[in-house]
Amino acid sequence: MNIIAEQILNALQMGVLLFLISSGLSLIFGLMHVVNLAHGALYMAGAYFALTAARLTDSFFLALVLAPLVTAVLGAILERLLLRRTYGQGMHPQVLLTFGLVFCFDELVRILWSSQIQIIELPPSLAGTLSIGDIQVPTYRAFVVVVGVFVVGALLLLFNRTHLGAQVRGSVDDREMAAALGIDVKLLFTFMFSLGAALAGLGGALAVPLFTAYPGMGSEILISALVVVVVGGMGSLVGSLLASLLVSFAIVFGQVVLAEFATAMIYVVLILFMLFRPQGLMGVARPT
Amino acid sequence: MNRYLFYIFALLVLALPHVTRGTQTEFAIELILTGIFALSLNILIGRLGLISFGHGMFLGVGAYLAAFQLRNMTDNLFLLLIAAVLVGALIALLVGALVLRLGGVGFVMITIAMCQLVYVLILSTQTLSGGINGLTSIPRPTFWKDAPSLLSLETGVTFFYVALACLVIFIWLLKRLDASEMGAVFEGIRQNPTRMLALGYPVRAFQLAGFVMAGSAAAVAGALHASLFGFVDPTVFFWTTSGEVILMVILGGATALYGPLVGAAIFLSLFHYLSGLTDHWRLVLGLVFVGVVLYAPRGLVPLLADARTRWLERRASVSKIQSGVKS
Repeated sequence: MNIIAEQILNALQMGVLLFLISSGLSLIFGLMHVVNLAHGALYMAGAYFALTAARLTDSFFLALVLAPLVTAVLGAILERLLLRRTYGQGMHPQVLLTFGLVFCFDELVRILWSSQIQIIELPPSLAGTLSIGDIQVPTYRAFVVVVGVFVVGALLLLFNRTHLGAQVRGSVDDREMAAALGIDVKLLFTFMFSLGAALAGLGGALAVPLFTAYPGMGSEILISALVVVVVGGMGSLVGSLLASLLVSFAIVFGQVVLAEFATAMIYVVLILFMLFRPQGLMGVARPT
Repeated sequence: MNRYLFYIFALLVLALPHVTRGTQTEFAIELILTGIFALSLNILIGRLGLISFGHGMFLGVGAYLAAFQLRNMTDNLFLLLIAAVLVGALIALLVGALVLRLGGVGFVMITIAMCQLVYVLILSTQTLSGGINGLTSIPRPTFWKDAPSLLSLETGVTFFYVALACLVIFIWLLKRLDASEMGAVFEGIRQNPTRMLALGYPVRAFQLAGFVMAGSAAAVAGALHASLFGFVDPTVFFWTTSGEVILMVILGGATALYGPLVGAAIFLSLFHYLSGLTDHWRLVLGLVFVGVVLYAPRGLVPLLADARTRWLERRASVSKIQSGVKS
């Protein structure tokens, strides 16, 4: 019983991290039709910003707030300076541009933070274990799940209950019409890109105590995030959430059953989806 | 004029392995093999408009095939090349049938994921594939048993000519493709798949055909690459390897026949030169990538070709004015 509960918590915590990365990726795609291959790099940037912030302020909680903010600014700068210049040229320049950025970011991290693996000390309040009934769980994993629930709630509120969210949804459905109705689509693009960056940055910051920080961490997580986006259906927030959970449960319980082939599990999920539901869980079938 | 230049260039290339030595010859061979790899990807990018982020898969398939075949079965060169073409084509057929179900951006994502799947599978089959360490001491192939030492591929010179022959044959095939009806259909699909579908062409079947061609050519490059250096490791399957070859294609120019070849040469030279100079060569590489996308999106070869046409036109108009002044 205890083991199953622990595995469920592990899967939930992993699902939260995957959701933080893939939701941004999916929304950026849904609104801007950009596959942001540098999204993993933003996740990595978040991790390293958190590292530095934690060292400077001596507070992990403050680092968790600062890192996404700085990553959001970085995202906004990237969108304004570079990505904006490729709009209207089809998807190829954007894919290539963001891939070039992956190289730049990996190397910049090596220059600025060195290529050593780095860790964050957890504050005492998060370091121990927590007992729920007679089950012992690591406090930090539970904390990650709670943060995830809050973020999901906030995003759902933002997109379904606010004027801004309505503008975004409208622009996803029909960009030209939204622009014609007076919505500043360009500003929305910047907002969405930097929101996606903030989510990825938060994911990166939360991941450091679990997986440490190292250059190239973004390129690894990006693949899982892409799988989640395809499985969930591109451009759908709820799809991302469901797919994150599906993929993380497949990985965690795959580890119990299949041991070393567990990492291959997510690709099995992916291939099954491509065969039977290529538009993803919540995606709309589009003619290719 | 152009014809003579071509002959001089061909002679220079043929004489090259007699001037270079040791690692220089190996570098020249690597250039040729990487050129084949980049040219094969350009069947997808330049001719069909499909950005495959998993083309490293076929390079790796060829490389691992060479490792198994040369170490355990036969060291015959022709059998190796035939096996590489067939296995590359077969796997491209299976993978292509799956990944081409998603168009556009989905295609980018799914090709990354498929390549990564193979990477993970290699890592988890340690005993068979050598896992993260890869497979080493792959022997070089031979023309036939007890072939004369002049034809031995142990010397870089013969290996160079074998690789060059593969490249020349491949370019000839590409030219045939571009001049054929199929090439015209490919171009139509690149420009507007929906319209081609409406005209009654089975778009996905043509895309699959292109995918198979690209896969088998890349497998040949991979097989020769593995036997050249005598080892193979799973990094060929990591998605950034596939990204690098895309950079070569875009850098040289996807619309020009020789663009990917030039791109591969520039990329490899930059890589060799920069990695000797600085540990942070990837930063320079990344900046080159960003710069090309922003300032020369069509690649260097079309850029130079344009400059040359403009220069010729200007010279023509200048001489016209001059002759006008004289008369």
